[in-house]
Formats: sequence, C-alpha cells, structure tokens
Amino acid sequence: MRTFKYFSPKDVKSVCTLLSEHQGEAKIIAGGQSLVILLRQKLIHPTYLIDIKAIEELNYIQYDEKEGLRIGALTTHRTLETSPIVMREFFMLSEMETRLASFQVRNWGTLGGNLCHADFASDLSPTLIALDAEVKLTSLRGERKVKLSAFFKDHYETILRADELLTEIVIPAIPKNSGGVYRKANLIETDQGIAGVATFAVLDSDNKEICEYIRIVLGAVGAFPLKSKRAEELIRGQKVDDAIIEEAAQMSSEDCRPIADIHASEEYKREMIKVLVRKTVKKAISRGKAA
Amino acid sequence: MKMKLKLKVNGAELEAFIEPHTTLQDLLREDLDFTGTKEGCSSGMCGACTVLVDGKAVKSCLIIALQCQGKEITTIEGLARGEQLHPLQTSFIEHGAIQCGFCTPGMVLTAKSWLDENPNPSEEDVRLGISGNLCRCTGYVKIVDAIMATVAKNK
Amino acid sequence: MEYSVIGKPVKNVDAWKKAMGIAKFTGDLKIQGMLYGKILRSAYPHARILKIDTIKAKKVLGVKAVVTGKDLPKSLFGTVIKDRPAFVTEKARFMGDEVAGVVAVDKETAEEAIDLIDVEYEELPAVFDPLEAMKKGAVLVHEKLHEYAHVPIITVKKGTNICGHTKLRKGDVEKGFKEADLVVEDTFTAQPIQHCQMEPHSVIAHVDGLRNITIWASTQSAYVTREAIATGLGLPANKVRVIVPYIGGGFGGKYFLKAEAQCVMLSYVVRKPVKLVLTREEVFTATSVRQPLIAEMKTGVNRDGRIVARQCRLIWDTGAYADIGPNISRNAGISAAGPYEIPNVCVDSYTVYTNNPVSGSFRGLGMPQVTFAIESHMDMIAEKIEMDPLEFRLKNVEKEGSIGATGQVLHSVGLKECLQKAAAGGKWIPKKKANKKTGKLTGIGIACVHKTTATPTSSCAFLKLNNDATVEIITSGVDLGQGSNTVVTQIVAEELGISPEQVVVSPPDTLMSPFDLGTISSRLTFHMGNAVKRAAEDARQEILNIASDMLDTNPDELELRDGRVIVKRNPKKGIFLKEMPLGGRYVTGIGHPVLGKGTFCTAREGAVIDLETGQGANASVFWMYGAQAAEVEVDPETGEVKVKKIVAAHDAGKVINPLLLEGQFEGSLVMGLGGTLLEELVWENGRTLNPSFVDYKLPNAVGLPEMVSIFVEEPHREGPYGAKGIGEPLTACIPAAIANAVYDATGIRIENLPITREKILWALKEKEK
Repeated sequence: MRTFKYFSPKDVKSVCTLLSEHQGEAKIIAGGQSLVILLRQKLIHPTYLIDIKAIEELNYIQYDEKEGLRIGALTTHRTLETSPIVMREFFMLSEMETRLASFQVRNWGTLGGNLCHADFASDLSPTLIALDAEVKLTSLRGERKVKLSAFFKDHYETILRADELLTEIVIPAIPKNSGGVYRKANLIETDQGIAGVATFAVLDSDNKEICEYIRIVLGAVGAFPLKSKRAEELIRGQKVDDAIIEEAAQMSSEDCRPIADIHASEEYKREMIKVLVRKTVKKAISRGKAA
Repeated sequence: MKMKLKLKVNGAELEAFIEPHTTLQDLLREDLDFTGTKEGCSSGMCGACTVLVDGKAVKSCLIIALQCQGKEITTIEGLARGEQLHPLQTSFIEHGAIQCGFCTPGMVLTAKSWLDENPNPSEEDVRLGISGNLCRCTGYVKIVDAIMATVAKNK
Repeated sequence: MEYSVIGKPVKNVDAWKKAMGIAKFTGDLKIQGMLYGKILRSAYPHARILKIDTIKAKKVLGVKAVVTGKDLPKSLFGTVIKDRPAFVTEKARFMGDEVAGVVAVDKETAEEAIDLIDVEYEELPAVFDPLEAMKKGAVLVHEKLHEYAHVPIITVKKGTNICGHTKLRKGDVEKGFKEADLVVEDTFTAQPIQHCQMEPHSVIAHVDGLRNITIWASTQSAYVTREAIATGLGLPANKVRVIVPYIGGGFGGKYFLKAEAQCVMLSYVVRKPVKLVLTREEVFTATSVRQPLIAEMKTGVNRDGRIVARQCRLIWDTGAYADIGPNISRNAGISAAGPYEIPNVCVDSYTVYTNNPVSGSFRGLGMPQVTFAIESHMDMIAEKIEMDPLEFRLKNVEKEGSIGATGQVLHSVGLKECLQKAAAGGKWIPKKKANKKTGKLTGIGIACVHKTTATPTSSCAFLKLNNDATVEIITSGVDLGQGSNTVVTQIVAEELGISPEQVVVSPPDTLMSPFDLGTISSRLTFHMGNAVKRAAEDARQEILNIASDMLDTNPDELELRDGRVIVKRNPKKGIFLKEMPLGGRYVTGIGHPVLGKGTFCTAREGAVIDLETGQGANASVFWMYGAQAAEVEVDPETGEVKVKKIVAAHDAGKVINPLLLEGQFEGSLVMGLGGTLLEELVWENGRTLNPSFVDYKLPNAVGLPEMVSIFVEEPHREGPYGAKGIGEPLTACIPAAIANAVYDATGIRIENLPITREKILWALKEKEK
C-alpha cells in the first residue's frame, strides 16, 4: 500500500480537529479490518490516516433500563458479543455477533468501523436498525443524532460529513414482551450473507397472540439495509399465523432490490429473503412469547 | 517518514522505526525475522498470519503495526518456553494435526486465544473458534481432536 | 507379519519444527544480497505486445532492473511440450502471461515500479471454449505448435489447438453396442478449481557471474525443476542446483515450472539472488488450475447387468500452455472406462489449448473429473436396468488377474472389498425419503475409483550411517506434508533395527541428493520407499559383513535388532551398532564407514503405451482403488446439500503409518467436498472473476460431515512391505458419491459440477410443477 501521514490523536476533540483540517484527504482507521484491505488493494490512497483505535473514551457499553443501551463506537465486535448485559438484554445482537466474520476479526474490528464502511451485506447494520438504533455524529461544529435507518446513502456511502466522527450507537430500551433474531443465508461460516434478515417483534401486552408492531430489516439485498415496510404494515396489530407470515415473506421478497453476482442470481436472493423472513418472524414471535 | 514504535514481542521490549503503512505482519516477518507468522493471502481470509496482541488472536496482515504501540505481541515462536512446548503444540503433534505446517502457527495461536476465553467448549464451539483459519491439508479433523484433547487435559 | 515400526502410528518427524514455527519455508529465507522481484501480467487473454515502455519504472529509486522478454536469451520452457517463454515477447496468450518483471531492493519498490510500466497491446480474437477451439478455423493459441520440442509419448496436431490426443482401443465397441440390450449416453462437465495451497508459490533464484544457478523453490520436484531450467537455458544439469525447503502444500499445483523460470530470468539480468513470492491472486490466475473437462460417455449394457462396451470422448481445456495437460489426457484417458471388466473399450482423450488460465496437475490427475462422469453414468445406467447401483458395480468390477483396458494383467486389486466396506460403513440402503420432522430430503450414494501412477519413473536414495548409529537418509523426495519423510524414517528404522529418533531425512538438494522424479502421482511411498529400503538393505549387508568378522560368524547368521547386531540363534551374543568401527576410529584391522545405496526404477517392457491403441502390459506399475459412500441431507427451501457422513474405503496395499494415512483420508475428503459443492473458478472471457478467498469459497472447520476412514490392504508384490500409493484417488470419488446421493434424495441429477444450491433449488421447484 502507499504510505500516508499518520496521526494517533488521544481524544475525540483532536480527531475532529484533524478531520476538519484535512477534510477529504484524511481517512479514519479504527480496527481497519475493512480499511486495510482497501489500502492493500490500492483502492484508496488517503494522504492522512487518523488512527482512533486507542481512544479509550469511545470504548464502552452502558445500559439503563429506561434509556436503553449506549455503545461507544470503538467497542469491538467481540466485546459486544461477550458482554453479559447485551447477552441478557439484547440477545439478538450478541447472537448475531457470534456468527460475524471470524474470531480474529471480531477481536480487533469495531462497530463504528463496520457502520462507516457501509458494506451493503453487513450483519451489524440490519440488526441495529431492527432495534431502532440511532448514531451520534460528532464534529467541531457539535453533535447530531441520526437514525441508523437514515444513515446509509449507497454502497460504501453514508451521510457522514468529511469532518464528522461516528462516536456512539444508541439502542432504545425494548419492551418486555418482545423478541428478535438475525439470520443470514451464507455459503460458508464467516461469510456475510447473500441475504440477511433482522426481525424484531413487540407483542401486545394484553394478548400475546397479537403482534403490536414488527420491524423486518432486509440485508444484502440492496445498496444498504431496507425496511420491509409493506410486510411490517401487514403484520402490525395482527395475529401472526402461517398465512400472514407467508404473505409477509412474499412481500419482502418482492420489495427487496438484490443484485445478481457470481454467488447467486437475483431470483435466488429473493427466494432466500422469503425463507429468512419466514424463519425470523416465526422465531421473533416465539421469543416474544417466551419473554 | 519513519515513526517510532515501542512494543513487546515474545516477552522482549523492542523499539522499531517503521514507515507508517507497515503492517504488523511485515514488521514481524521482515523487520524482526519472526517468520513463524505466515503470509497466505494478505486479505485477512486465511488466518495464517494470526498472532496474539495482548493475548487476543488477530490477523496481522490487516493491522497497521503502529496500532500496537505499547502492546504485547505473541507469535508462535513465543509460545514454547525454550524447548518446553505449550500443551497445544504437543497435542497438535501427538494427534497428527500437522501436515504441511503452513496453517499451524496461526491455528495454534487462535486455539490458544479461544481456549483462554472458552476453557470448556463443545466441539462445535471449537470449530466456530477456528473458522477463520483455513487448512487445505488436514480436513480439520485432527486439529479439532488436538484442541479438544487439550481441553480435556486442562480440566 | 509383525513389524516393530511399520504399521505403527509414528508421529510426523517434521511436526515439532512446524509446531514451533521454526520450519523455514522458501518465503521465510533471506539470502545475502537478496533483491525482490515482481511480475507484470498481461491485461488481455490474447493480444500482441506492441510496445513496453519501462522508462518511468526504471527511474524509481531502488529499482535494479526492469526486464522484458527482449532482454533475455530466447528460451522456451516446458516439461511435456516446450511451448512457453519465461516472459512473452510477441504475444500474450492468457491473462497470467508474464509481460515484464522488476527487480528492486524491496517488495514495495518493485510493486511501485510495476505500476509504472506502460504496455501497448493489440487485442486479438480469443477462444475460451475448448469445443470451439477444436473446430476447423478456430483462433490458434500456438501457431507454431508443430515446431515445439515435446516428449515422444504425446501427439500434437499441426495447425490446430490440439496438443494431446490419447487413444485407447480394445475390442470392437461398435459391435459391442449392437449386441448390447441397451445403450446409454450421457455428457458431464467438471469445473476448473484451484489447489489453494496455503503457502503461495515462492522462489529465490541466484544466477551468479558464471551462470551457475541456485534455486530455492516451493516445488514438488527438485529434479524436474532443474531439468526444465537447464534444458530451457541450454545449460548442463550440474550448473543448476535446486533446493526445496519446507513446502506449504502442493496438491499438484507446484509441479513443473510455475514461477521459477521468471525468477531465474530476473536474477539472470542482475546476477544477484532474487526472491519472488506470488500473491494469492497470482496463485489463482497465473500458476495452474484443475483441468476443466467435458466427458461424453456411451455404454452398452445387458439387462443382467454386464457392461459390454464403453466409449468415452474426453475434452480437456489445458489453457494457454500445455503444462502437464497431455499427460493428464493420457493417464485419465487410459482410465476413463472405469475400474470395470469391459471387453470393448474406445477412448479418445483430447488436450486442447484455449486462452483460459493454464491448467496443470491437480490431486488425481484428471481422475476426480473423469470419475464424476463414470460413476454418475454408472448410477444412471443402473436405474435404467432397474438394478441396485452397488450390485451393478460389484457385478463388473475388476479383480486380481483381470485384464485392464490397457491389456495389463491387474495385480493388487482391493476394489471389491473397498466397495463392500464403504457400503457397509454407510448402511447401504438407498433412502429416497423426506425426513418428516425436519422436512429435509435424505439420500445415499456410492462411487468407486481406480487410478494409475506415473510409469515409468524412478527414485534413488543414499543412506549414511554415522558411527554413533544415527542415520541420514539422502533423497530428493519432497514431503509436502503427507509424511513421506516419516515413512522412509520408519522403513530405515525397521530395516536397521534402530529407533525412528535416530534417523534424519535430508532436504531435497540436487547437488547432494540423488534423483527422484518428485512428489506426484501418489508415488513416493512405493518408489522412494523402495529406494530407501534397498539402501537400508545395502547398508545392512555391509554392517553384517563387518560384524561377521568381529563375531567370527557368517553374515547370514546375524541380524539387526534394537540397535545391535545379534546372532540369530543366540541373541545374547552381539555388538552395539554404535560400538562398531564404522568411521573415525579403527582399533583393529576391521571396519569401514558404511554407505547404503538404493535405486528403484519401473522402466520395463510395456510401460510405455502404444500411441494408437493405448495398450501397454505395464501401463501402470500399480493401480490404486477405492470406494466412498456419502449420506446427504438436502434442504428443499434453500437447495443446500449438507453431507452428513462419508465412508471411504481405500486399498493402500499395506498401511505403513495409520495416523498419517488417516490424515490423508480426511484432508482429501474435505478437498473433494469443496470441489463438489463450494468451489468454482469463474472465468469470463479469460478473466478470473474470483481470484481470492473472499469469492472463491474454501471449506473451513464448520459444517463438515462425519468421516469414516477404512483401510483395505491388498498387498502389492513390488511395494515396500506390500504398500502402494493412496493420496490422489481419495479425492476422486466424492463428486459422484454426492451427486448420486443427491439423486437418491431428490430425484435430481446434476451433470455439471459444482452441485450448487441454486441448481438444486430451481430443479426441485421445476419438479414440483
């Protein structure tokens, strides 16, 4: 890879200052598990590399019963995976992490890095969107909070401005009678999916047979994760049986926007979305009932 | 422009002056002659470059060396105490888990790091733990046997 | 027969160094004054090279040379056909072709300079389909094919893309088809896959001021590499030295020149050691791949299950250069009818040039692809005559004394036992059912294989006995990880009555270790094993002669046991080996250093097959046999084929080391699994679309089947302790075993590898309609 000027700022303010100074010519490196590949393949040649990996103030998981979960952007996948709080309160997140890439990648790669790299087949983003996550974007100009569902623009493109740093992920507290799951269709273990679905369902507090609302987020079948809106609307307030699940699965498969590649045709990806929506809705509902 | 890197490798404090784009893999193999760490694909997929950073298994081909400022690196050469092999190394030898040996350093270090965090894994857990390490020779059977035997011995 | 070391699970002698990370592979070595090389490869699959502008590249600080074909002696390389320059000058024939090279002080500088070389190409029409390439008027990959030097055992067709045509003619197939109750025809294809050795190809070459050449290479044959370089450059053999350090896997992909000629040429220009380590992408696109195959099978069979006639037309895409292509066409061609007693056989096996990446030897030398065709075909025939697939095979299999398709009288044929044991181990009851609880479809399939070993070939060995009774074995056999060093250690320990710890095996070095053809064709245990055994016997005789003087007995009254020479009838009487006068000090007039020598060669009448009929009474010094049963579970929702269990039963002649042998089984089965369900090189107009582990999927430790390895021993009269080879046929049965199991489970027949989820899913949905 080509060389660069290297900075390792010690705090968020210094990072923002550097970003502001070198807008457009600088790249942030956190775990680098995606970035270093781009550098090695000479797909990017930043003049400046800002290494934030060692900034401890961005490495935390905080839980509050009412506020929910606040995760520092430099938390590694492995930390999230093994956090007792996350395993207890947001199991679908921890569960998704156990099958994300490999052990080594999870040990060094960060959540913030994954989100900002914006790989269309990320496992993390659809899962967080299903949990209605928000991200905090920080710059010298201040802070703004954005729903993760509005964070992605296109393949490898987000709404992050050149002088901004993603510093925190916030997941609102979830109601008791809820359940969620992420499943993907991949060819081998460690792969991202050729299709992935994250589903989070909240059951009616009086009648567990009724689904109050559901979030169904489709991954790897568009430039970024897509909410399966028609399917979500179909299930909202309804009793969830096989017939409604099948219809929701069919809608999802119609509404996604997969691109054919050497691993799978567009039709196969749509078919897998159908299968995954079927599976995840069933599972999310049953987890909600068991909660 | 070269920059100073201070770190510990296999127990020894070291200082190196390196170009900032130097990967941990190149630092270890080319500058420090720890050739036990291998280069198999340079894209983070094969795991042959795995080393331990502060005890955690990572892929050195995907890490900028400067990120290891002040950290402790363990390569395969640092696992044995002189000629006294680590139980995992002994187990690999005894179970026939080594054929060409190219994946072995990465595989052993990954297993060590995984077992340090999961001292009582099932076979499926072990397979998941080493899913980031490719082997073309063994079919993984004896590698898993060797790791499970070490688990049994540790109990 | 009870042995002390043979047949025991002796640990791999190289395991300790590898476990500690101190085993040095070629890429780990540093030679004083060493520079680094990098190659620029063709941007087009077929193009004339008009101009190469190296001015900017030469100016980069740290660049010692920028090399193109024009700067080099005009040499063509190739072991079967000399058709390939180290760097192309007139035209590039595939996208891996070497157009220029850089030598620099480090890797990065070399890479930087490569990016600055400008090449002007004139794109030429190209041919990617071997069937198109065979037609009259096709684009010619090698216009001067008829001018190339080649080995006499192959035939090239002037003015075409056909650089190999193996014919086998036995009996009269047309008559056979007329007489048969039923004639069945099927066509199959096998995809290109890559060896994916974990160690990328690595070479260090040093051409000194006098053109003495030293090469350290990750290669499967020191001597073949030496010969190819020496003859390519017109140098005497003893001016070229090839050393093989530890090597990280071969599987056939490191046999014949891969990066060595280029590295030698770079060093030739700078006269300093140059290291060239290929990137993973280069390994995928510019070394070699497994031959894609189109196999047209036609069989005449009677209702009672007897195969009467078989005709096979095989078309092998060898890519832009021949490499070992014509040999594959030959070895697989003479085996194409399968391990069955068939009175009338006709095979035409063609090796065809295209502008695709070069294909070369791959574990099985064509047999995995051919066996997929034969064994799928066998099941399809069995169904048509309403016979159980196992029974159909057992009715026709070759046995001891059968006359094979080449006219060879077959010996050491454990096939029937392999089939019966594989079937029994897998509980052979074709399932054809859906699991009501899980909704998955389960099935079972079986396949068997036979394979030749390269004949004639040879191996030599020296044995050096030190006066402390330790031994050095000096041979050139390359241990790729399969454990050949351990096997020969066991043989020497057995023959000399010492422990394996007292034996060291030399690394292959053509300056010091004698000839061995190399690690290919599952030949080492048999050939190198025999050579080493002879060297040990030679040394033993010397030792006993000296001891007989010391003990005042006849040598045939003595034997070696537990580190001593003992009198057979009175074992208490004897001498410790380490106390014998074998070098250094001589107290009396008795004694001298002991050197053992052994040569084993299979050149004999009938080893070279007839070019018109493929007949040869000794076409293969031994044949390898095996059978595998696979149990699968198909998910009708996704088309995923999960292999639950594989039972493999193979005939090793004699198992020398069960621990290492089991390792060969397990590694091969997983490799076969990958090649059946997961792996495929995707080529589009000569470009490889997936030259990385991201997009070329290799099996990892998760989701693998239960594997049962069964050893069958049908001793070979010439093998050391009866042993023969085994490494290759282990990969060959899986594709058909799985394809047959998938058919059993779903009624869907896949005739084109790989068996992907999509193929299954759409076929299932089609069936539902």
